[in-house]
Amino acid sequence: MSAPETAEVLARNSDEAAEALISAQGLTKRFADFTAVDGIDFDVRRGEAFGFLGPNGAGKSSTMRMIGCVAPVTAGTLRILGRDPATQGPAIRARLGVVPQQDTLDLELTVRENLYVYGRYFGMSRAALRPKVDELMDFAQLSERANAKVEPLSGGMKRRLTIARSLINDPEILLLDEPTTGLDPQARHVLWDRLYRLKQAGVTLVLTTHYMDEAEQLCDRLVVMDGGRIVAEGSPQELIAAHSTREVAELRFAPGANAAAAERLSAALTGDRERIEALPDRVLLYVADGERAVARSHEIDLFPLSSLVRRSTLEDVFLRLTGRSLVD
Amino acid sequence: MTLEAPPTIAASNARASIALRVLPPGLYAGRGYVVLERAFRVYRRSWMVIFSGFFEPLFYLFALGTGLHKLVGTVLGPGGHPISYTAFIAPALLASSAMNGAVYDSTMNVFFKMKYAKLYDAMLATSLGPLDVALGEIGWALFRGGLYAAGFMIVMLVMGLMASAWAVLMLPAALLIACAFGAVGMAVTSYMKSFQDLDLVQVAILPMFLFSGTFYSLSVYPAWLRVVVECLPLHHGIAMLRGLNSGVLDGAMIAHVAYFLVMAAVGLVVTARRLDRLLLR
Amino acid sequence: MGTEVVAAPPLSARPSAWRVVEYQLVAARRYWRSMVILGVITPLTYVLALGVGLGVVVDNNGRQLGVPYLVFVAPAFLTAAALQIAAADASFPLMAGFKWIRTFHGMVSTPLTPDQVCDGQLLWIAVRLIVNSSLYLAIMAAFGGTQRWWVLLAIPAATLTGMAFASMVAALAAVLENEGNGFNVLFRFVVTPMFLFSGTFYPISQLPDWGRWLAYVSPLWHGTELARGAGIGGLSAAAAIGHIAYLMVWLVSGVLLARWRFRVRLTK
Repeated sequence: MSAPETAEVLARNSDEAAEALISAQGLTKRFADFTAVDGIDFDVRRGEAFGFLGPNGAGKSSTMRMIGCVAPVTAGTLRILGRDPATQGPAIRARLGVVPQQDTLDLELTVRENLYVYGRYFGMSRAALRPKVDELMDFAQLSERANAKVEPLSGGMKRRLTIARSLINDPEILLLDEPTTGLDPQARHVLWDRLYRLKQAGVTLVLTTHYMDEAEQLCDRLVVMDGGRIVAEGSPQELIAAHSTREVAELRFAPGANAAAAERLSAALTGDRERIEALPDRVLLYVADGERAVARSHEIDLFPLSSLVRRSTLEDVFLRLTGRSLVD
Repeated sequence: MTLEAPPTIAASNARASIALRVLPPGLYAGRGYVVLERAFRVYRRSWMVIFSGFFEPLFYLFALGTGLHKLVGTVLGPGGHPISYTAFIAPALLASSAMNGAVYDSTMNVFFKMKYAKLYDAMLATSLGPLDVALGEIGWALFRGGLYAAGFMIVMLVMGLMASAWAVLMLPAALLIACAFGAVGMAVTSYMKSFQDLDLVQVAILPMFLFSGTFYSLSVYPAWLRVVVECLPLHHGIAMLRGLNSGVLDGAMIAHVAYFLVMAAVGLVVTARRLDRLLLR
Repeated sequence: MGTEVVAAPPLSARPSAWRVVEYQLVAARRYWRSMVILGVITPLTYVLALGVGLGVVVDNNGRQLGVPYLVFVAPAFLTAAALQIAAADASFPLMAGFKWIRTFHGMVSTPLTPDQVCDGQLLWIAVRLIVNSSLYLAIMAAFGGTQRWWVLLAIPAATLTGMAFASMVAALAAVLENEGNGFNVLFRFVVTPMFLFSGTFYPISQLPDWGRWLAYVSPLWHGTELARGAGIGGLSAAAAIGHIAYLMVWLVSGVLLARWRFRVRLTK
């Protein structure tokens, strides 16, 4: 432990009065010749669910590792719970829960032992851990597998165990790096439910994801990262309002005819921020009123094979901001 | 949700503060024993792995002691007294097995946990520091080494191979050897990139095992080779245990102990710093 | 993706176990460095430390063996090394092919059969044993561990010994489903004792009765007798045939067992 610990424990109450649990200014992470995070600013407030969105390689995981105090900051300032991770890493980590991108469960231990031993790493007493472990196995719906080895568990079970494990020290901030990647829909929904409950209980959630539905479900506020920078920030609704239109009309024409159709349809766009995107298999019209756009198409004698009008989603914002081409 | 300050933190501050003066902050939380506790839980179930390691030096002792003694004839122990060949190799085998066990634990096992099981990543996401991890792992290796050494010494006692009461001190001495090799082994492992590099450990260990005078005295070597071998750590381990077993103690004992203390300290500091670089980056 | 049409391989080009050996050769490029270093350092160490070094002590104590100690132990070290390499190569690397990297599952999704995969792995080990044993012999010779040309026969003797054991270990590799703790027990309780109690360091007449009987069962003792006979003579034709026959029984039953277990594991 660093420095005079007791003084810090006493100082905790005043730290907690501060608005931002995590605050970063000009936060930068550079590896040898590559800048993973390029001077970003953000604040995470107590009790909110804050998301980092972005394609692979956007710098999300590097940011999470810096917040988790397992990667030193190259430049800029980062304060977590009012403290500097460079000098007070262990003290900060004592109050964090971490769900890494890839499970780091202890394959040589059982489900119960994974929770128990992890609690011991935090210096918790055996007596305090016993009820806590039972409670968390219940929370993760793993009580029946308590004495099973970890390796044969399903992906969803392992993920739930990882989340349960991250809660062993009653963390004030829970860091989740792509919590549901690779899980089937049932497992994802179970996890979302658990995370929602934690949020209700007052835990501050910080998560990265590239699933837009996940971000919309869970996040109060999020930032979109691309190439190590923050390209947009706000609530899901704010982002949609700011970077997309209310509705999207998807018109599907015969193969090869989509580009030509898009050309002619561009005349139909009128409103503010409305735009058109021609893909090989369909044309997307970002408009305020999707039904009207489809009607306009018919008026100029363009009859798509099929048409679909939907509301704009975070995914539209995401693709608009970070592009459609593959990043890695 | 709130977190009560873990009760051990304050208590461990006194211990931690000493380490903090020489090491960067955040390296040590004074809780290496929880890493040890984990190892006990794991091996409670796979005791066979532990148990089987006890036999290797015994096989060497029986096979080479019984079979070679006629070919080799009488040998001279420390102090120039003639002793049986079995009594000659027994303390040396104890030293060698302390080395082998510690090196295996600190290279193979640590490499696997670091690169594949990501065990240390999980530990360092908690309030543990790299030095806790290093101390805990070395502590485990020492415990295991201590068990083997004690077992082997009981066999020596039963076979009448101990010539002096000083022989009891072979146990702490074997632990010191294991500690030094374990610390250096971990430091070396932290530089390894692939399983191929582990084979290179064999390249260092096997010649040391066979050349350091386990099976014959160094007097068979030409002078230059004797000097080289006398610089190797295992030679000091063998000389130390042989001296203790025969009760022949001289100033060289202090040199042997100092050698291993320095080796352990260097290994430990390098390991903690490397783990910091490797895992916290 | 190119548009070029690739001609289908002619059907007559039936795949053979040698394809597997070819694959192993390509894969070996990744770890040739440690293979070569270990292949040189290990024999050098044994020959110098326990052949030359221990030889000084033994030879000073009257030549009870009739030949310099180095000449006596070197062929046995060569055979023991073959056995150890064979056991190592047939254990964890094969288990990885089944379990961790699953190369073998990939191989049988081509026209290769499980039998061919099995044979190929064993052939590859045999190739390694021949190369390693030749290297060993060269190092022995460099330090005066050889006395006559017949010693060249130690290479096939060692290879046969190694393969007799490797085939059995390969069968075990196909059976084990766990993390390979069975191999740890095998190495500690079979391979190491075999090395120590098979007359490598001294004639087995030095052993008590029970030790001698252990040696008679151990394939390594039979291999050692053959290699030592090649190196220093004194082995009757009848004895040589007996040793070879015993090793052949191990080899043939090992190969049959291994093929069977490969079939079971890979067609499941």
